[in-house]
Amino acid sequence: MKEDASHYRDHQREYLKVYEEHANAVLAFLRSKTSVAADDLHQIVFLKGWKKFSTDSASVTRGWLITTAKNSFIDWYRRERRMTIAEGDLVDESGDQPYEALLESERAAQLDDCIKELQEIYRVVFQARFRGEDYQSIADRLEMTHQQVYKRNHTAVAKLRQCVEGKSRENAST
Amino acid sequence: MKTRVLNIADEQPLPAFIDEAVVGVHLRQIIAELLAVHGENQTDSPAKLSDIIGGRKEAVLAQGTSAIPREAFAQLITNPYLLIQLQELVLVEGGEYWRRLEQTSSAEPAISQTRLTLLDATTDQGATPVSRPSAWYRRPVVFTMFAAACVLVAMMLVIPWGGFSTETAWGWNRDDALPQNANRTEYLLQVASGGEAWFDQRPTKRDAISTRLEEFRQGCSRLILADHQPLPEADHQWLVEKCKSWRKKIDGHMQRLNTGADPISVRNEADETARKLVSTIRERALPTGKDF
Repeated sequence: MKEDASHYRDHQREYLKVYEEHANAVLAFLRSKTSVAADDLHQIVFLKGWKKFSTDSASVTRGWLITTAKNSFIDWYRRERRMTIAEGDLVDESGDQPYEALLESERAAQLDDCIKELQEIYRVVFQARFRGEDYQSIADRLEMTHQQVYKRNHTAVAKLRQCVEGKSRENAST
Repeated sequence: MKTRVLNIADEQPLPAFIDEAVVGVHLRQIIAELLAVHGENQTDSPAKLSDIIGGRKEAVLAQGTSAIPREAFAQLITNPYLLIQLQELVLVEGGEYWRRLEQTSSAEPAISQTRLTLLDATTDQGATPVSRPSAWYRRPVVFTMFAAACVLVAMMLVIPWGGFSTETAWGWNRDDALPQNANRTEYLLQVASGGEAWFDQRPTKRDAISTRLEEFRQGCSRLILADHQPLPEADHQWLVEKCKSWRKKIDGHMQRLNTGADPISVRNEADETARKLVSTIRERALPTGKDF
């Protein structure tokens, strides 16, 4: 009896180690699919994992957990939306979360507005940085110094922060 | 709710920011923001991620998106929905680089909640069930930093902890960091979460890293001096000894920073210390033989 308890305890500890190793990854995966159900699905995935671990511990790998997360999401989605998603479809490919809809999310829409309102001298530098250009190549292209580009980007970010916060406050008060 | 793309540090290369986003829990939001940033400048969307990373898949798995040539990276970043495909690829097949990034993502309440659910579910009959704590992650007013541990000790003799609350404290310096009415497992898990809060901010400048380390050290000092009422004597002693050793390590990081070492390298070393201490406390938190 004592040996059984000890064996069970070791098994439990091993599984909780598996959890610590993969918990963040599974949550990141689920949150990229759904913001409303991700946390619940996270629990479901690791409870399924525990069941599987009890019979076949070696099979509960990162790949198994991500596949289980994907299938759990699809099951949830089908229930919620009563739509069929072809097996193997990913959210982005199946149109589960149209990115136009994502754009409607409040902050992104505010950011969009603020970027449009930003003076061009700042917008050009900010957008170039978000295309992956480093400061020096932006400077070379725009015939500016590295320091000027760095400063303009810094100012652009500060202005955008101020603008987004202002729009948030306006929305909150209306 | 933060606008995440506006939180990129001036010095941080974009690939590093994107890599953190890809394995973090806010990717959807960041994708939406990137779409807003690029507006009408988005390029025609390639059908697949493989069109962009081409033959560099292994390099991306090992080193992140900095391994992608600049033009291809620009395509990726201006078609940010492809980051979801990249996420699945690196979560399943990514190497040490990506695993390390995963562990530096901030502590999410959902992670603690699932952990407690698992402790419930995996504790068999006859075991002491682990009750869920009240919503400890709700953050009330917290503590002021102290300049040095000795000052901290002296002040503790005269003024109760709550007297120093500010909104800037984090981790073990928070009011609710050490819930004296929790059970042993809950308490240790909460202590581990306090250490994990180190990853909530990713400063890049020397001064900011120095301040963060100092706060981390102060948290350690608080742990050493705390009552730890939910802990049996053996756990209490163990925690205090461990804290002393972690504090020494943090001192080492601070010393390296003060003697001119590269701040990001020092931050990475401190990440390692934080990772180890969090996993050590969590390991200790698992139910002991007495619970069965």
